[in-house]
Amino acid sequence: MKSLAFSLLLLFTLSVVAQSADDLANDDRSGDELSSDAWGDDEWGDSQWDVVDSPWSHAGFIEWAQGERLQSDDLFGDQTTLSEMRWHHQFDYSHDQFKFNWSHDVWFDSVPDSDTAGLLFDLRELNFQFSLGQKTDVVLGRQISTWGTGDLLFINDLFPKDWVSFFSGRDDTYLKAPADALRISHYQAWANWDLVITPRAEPDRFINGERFALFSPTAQSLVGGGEIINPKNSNEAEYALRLFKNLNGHQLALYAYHGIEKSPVGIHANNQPYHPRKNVWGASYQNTFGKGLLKAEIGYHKSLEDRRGSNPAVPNSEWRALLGYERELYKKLNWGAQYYLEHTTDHSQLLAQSPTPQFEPEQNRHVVTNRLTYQAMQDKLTWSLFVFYSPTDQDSYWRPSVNYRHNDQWQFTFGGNLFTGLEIHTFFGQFEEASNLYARIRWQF
Amino acid sequence: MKTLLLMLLGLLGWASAQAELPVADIIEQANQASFYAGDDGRSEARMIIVDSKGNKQLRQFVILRRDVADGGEQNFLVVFSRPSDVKDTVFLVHKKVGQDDDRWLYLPALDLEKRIAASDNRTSFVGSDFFYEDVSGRDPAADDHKLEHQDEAYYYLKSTPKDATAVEFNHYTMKIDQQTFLPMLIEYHNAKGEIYRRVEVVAVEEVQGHPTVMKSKVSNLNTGGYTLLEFRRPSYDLGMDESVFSLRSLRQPPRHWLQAQ
Repeated sequence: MKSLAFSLLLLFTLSVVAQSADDLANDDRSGDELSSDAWGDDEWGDSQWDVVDSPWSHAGFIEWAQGERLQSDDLFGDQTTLSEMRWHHQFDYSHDQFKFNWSHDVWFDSVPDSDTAGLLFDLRELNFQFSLGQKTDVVLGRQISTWGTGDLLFINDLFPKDWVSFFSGRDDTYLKAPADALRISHYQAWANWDLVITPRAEPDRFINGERFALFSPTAQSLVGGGEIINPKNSNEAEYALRLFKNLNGHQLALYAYHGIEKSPVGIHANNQPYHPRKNVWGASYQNTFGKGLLKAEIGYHKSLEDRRGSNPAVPNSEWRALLGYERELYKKLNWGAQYYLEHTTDHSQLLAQSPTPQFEPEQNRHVVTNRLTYQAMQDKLTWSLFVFYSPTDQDSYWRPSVNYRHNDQWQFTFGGNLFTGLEIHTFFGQFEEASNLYARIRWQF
Repeated sequence: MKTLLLMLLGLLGWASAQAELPVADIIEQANQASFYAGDDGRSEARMIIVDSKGNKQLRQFVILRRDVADGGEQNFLVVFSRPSDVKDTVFLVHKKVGQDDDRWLYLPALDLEKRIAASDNRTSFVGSDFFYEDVSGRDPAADDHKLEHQDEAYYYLKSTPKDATAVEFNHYTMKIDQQTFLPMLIEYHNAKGEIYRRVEVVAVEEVQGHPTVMKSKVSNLNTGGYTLLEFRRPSYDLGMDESVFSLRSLRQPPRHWLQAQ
């Protein structure tokens, strides 16, 4: 089954490329001449200009994706991690006073033995964007929000993320999940602020055992093969505030957040996982430095239900910090590195109170990341490798990928999500048997 | 004898100063005409990118520009509408002179406001044969310019980079229109003296008194690929203020200015 799916993908890729080669063979026009033909309306398609003039616009794609585990995970009957046909479409309407945005995904998920297989729908955007007076912008409705300086590391960005999509090889875009929220952005000469209110907390789409197994300290083993972690949704509201200023390229920001742990890392007395309440206070800075870009971010994650760190059923407060640098090493070859720290406060309390101290994280968890991106063939071919490595946990997560943009319609992506670890309870180590390769073919319109 | 020598030296010095002045003047005016017309401007633009095999791609965007100082710092805001994978992507540049620009990219699907590290300015702009530098302008002080000759209509210049290691060309030649000061043809030569890259102006129209390039073409003679760039409804001196080019415009592009004026 696995090899069949990949062969089909490969065949299909080859046929699209061959088809274009045929088109070209039939095209005897010399590319070097500035023929009137090349400027003619049939070349551009006159309607191309009209796109700007119409208040309505839309765009989308159809994508086929397939992913398989590299090795067998005994908790799962089938080793397929991704198998879907997806239709994404966005519509927007621009009016002088507002803009309306709609975007959705409809996909048929055919991962065998999956709790969520079948036809699925995800509304990603349904919002109105408008201004109040000269200095205030509002986005009301379902929306995706992002802030902070980290590259795939999040300290002050507590907006929902979709880790299942991220680990299974969907487009990077799907790492961010939508939330029903109100965003108010206010711009002043002295500083700007952003407030995002999510009346009903929107947790991450976390790893729950359904598609990938995870480590359970209670079971002292990996659990998975079905939806194991199924917490009750929190009724808390989330408030996220950012104060920011661009001072001649020096970008400064202060952050505050009141809401929940985005993953269900708390455990009720009845052994039911839940999302404990938390506050986050933070700051960030970024600017060019030498030929590159320097960024620094810090955040204090305050546990509201375990202020002294003595409750083993709720994570302790943490300091999180990152320092990053990125630059172009050579034409079209970009490199980025980050150092990231998670410092658990009251760590001795945690070890003293925990029923399973051997599985608790170290007081300081260090992570380094490296990103290499190379674009070739006039940006049509993109090679990318992102690596997380933790020297304290002795585990790592590798994300190699290659994307080929054949033309404005066809894109092909191959990649992997590779986890290594010495122990099954560490952050990346627990996903070792989730390591997978994937392929995607996209037709966009 | 000594006096004669001094006189000769003086004459030489005077002669070379005379030769330099027009070149600097031509370059200055060409830079103004190409990149600084009016105090600000907007235009719709579209590109056809044709590779060596004849495969075509399209790019369509609106570009807004505001000069902070004439011939100096500038701001650009580029909002893409086509193709669909870059629709609503916004590119903001605070262009500096003599130092790296500040650049931001906004990716709407992720709501990601991404600061971009400085990059080689002589690499593809959005996958086209145009370089970033062709669009935002090359620092005139980066090259030594020489007026080779002139006829009734054009100045013919040869420009050699001061830092040959920073660029891929050995030198380039420009054919500059004496009336408009627009470089109508730029040809890049490699170390062997061969032309491998050509930027040509195909159509010029006068807009609000400014001769404006409406169509241009860049050809990569090594690969046979080329890109056509066409502008529509350009306008100048709209009175856009600084805030149009602030980070706010990444998430909320200034709809008023994106529409035809």
